[in-house]
Amino acid sequence: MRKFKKLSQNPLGQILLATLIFCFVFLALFLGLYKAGSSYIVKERSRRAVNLTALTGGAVYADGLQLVRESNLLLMAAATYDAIMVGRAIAAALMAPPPLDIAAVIAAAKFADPNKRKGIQTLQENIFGIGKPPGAYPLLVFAQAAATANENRLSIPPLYVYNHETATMQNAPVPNMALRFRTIAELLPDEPKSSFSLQHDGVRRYFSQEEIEPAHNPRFPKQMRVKKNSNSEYAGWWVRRETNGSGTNENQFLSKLAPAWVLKNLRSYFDKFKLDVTDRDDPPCHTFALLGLMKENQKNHPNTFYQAGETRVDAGGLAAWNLADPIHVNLEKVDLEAFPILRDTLKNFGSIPFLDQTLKESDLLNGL
Amino acid sequence: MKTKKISKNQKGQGLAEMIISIPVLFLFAAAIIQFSVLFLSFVQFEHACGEGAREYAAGLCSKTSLAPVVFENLGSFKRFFDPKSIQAALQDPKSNAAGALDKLRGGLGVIPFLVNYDGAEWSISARCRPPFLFHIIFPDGILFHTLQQVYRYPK
Repeated sequence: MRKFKKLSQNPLGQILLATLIFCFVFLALFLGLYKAGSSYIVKERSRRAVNLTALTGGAVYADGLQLVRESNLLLMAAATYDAIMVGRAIAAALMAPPPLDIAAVIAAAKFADPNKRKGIQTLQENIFGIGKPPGAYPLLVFAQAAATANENRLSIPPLYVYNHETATMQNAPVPNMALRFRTIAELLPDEPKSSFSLQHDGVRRYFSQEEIEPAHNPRFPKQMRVKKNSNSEYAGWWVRRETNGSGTNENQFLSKLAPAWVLKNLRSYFDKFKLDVTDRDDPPCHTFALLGLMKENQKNHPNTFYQAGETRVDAGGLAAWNLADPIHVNLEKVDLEAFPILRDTLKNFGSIPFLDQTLKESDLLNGL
Repeated sequence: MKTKKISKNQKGQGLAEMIISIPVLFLFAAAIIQFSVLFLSFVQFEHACGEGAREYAAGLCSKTSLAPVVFENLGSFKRFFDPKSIQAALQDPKSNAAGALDKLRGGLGVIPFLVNYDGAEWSISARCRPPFLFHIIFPDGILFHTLQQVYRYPK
């Protein structure tokens, strides 16, 4: 200490100390700049890698949707062939000498149906994973995206989320393309729907057909009420039928065509007959999102960067007649607020101290 | 004679120290600024490569014309790069899985209308002309290099 004091009182020592401090300050500045710069580079690289991986997943997904259209075209051809065969059999049965035997005509039609549709529908089920995910094609989407993530230096296989807007926590991570089979029942007019309402303290509440029941009032046999055993705070309250809006008007129009019970039974019967493959949701939801991770390889203090990327695939329609319609793949700006599944997952991670610290160090939770 | 007089004076000594130290101080400050510019150039290079790949994915350019697109996306940092030094070479994927998927795509692509997505992996390199202080250390410039892969629909 005495030596240091002596040195600081000597002009030469003062110069030496000043030089040392000067060098130290600039070295610290250089090191800080280097560290911040390298981290920024990794951050930019991870953002790019996640975007390119999302775009790749979206491209393969879009190709899959076009394949759905093409398979639907094949299905239509098969259905046409089946219809021709059945038609020929019916015509032959009708040409038979009288009396007309309806049962024989139906039997002939059933026997003549080659059901070429079935084979194609089974193929569609297995390829696109309809009703039993993951299918072969959604797995290809996963595999190609995982391979691209690896090529773009994302550290571990990222977490993928499929069609998250209409998915649940359970099925969002399972590769799927949000598809289903259309049924003949969907070609029938809609089941009559009525909407009912009541007004309380100036606020009108609306109820669906499922939420109401007859009020069992002999003076007003048609009076309805909110189901007595429901959890609604208005349970047992009388409701009135809405006269404006589509519900009642449509109801009146349809009731002229056929009684409600006939339509209901027809619908449940035709629900068994599958047609072509269509979107699971209306409006359609086809999104591919991922949460990627990139590590910066520094010796003592590894930095980890999380990034989220998402692409939306807009097809317009998957029917055979949409074959020539373009499919657009759009890179979305990820908004975690509109990402309920991921947000919930990350919030749960936040309760684990180690992961909480990791997430806080990344820029992923901004805005949460 | 005059300098000798100044150096003997207390004020003159301070002035002489300042004359010596100010250029060094400025040199260090300039080095720090130029170091930042160098880092920003690399960040911009990474960004430009990503934008180039996105333009490819959007169908705005072909696989083989990525280098000019990368240069265009360098923005105000263009002056630190030689356009002729930017090279975007197509290469095979590094991992076996990605290679196998490419082979599968190629095989299925023989069947018409079946595979309508395509992509590539690029090894992109560019030579950065650093600002004058770093130019003394790296007279040939600094080579930046990155890899990226993306696929697009339709082909």
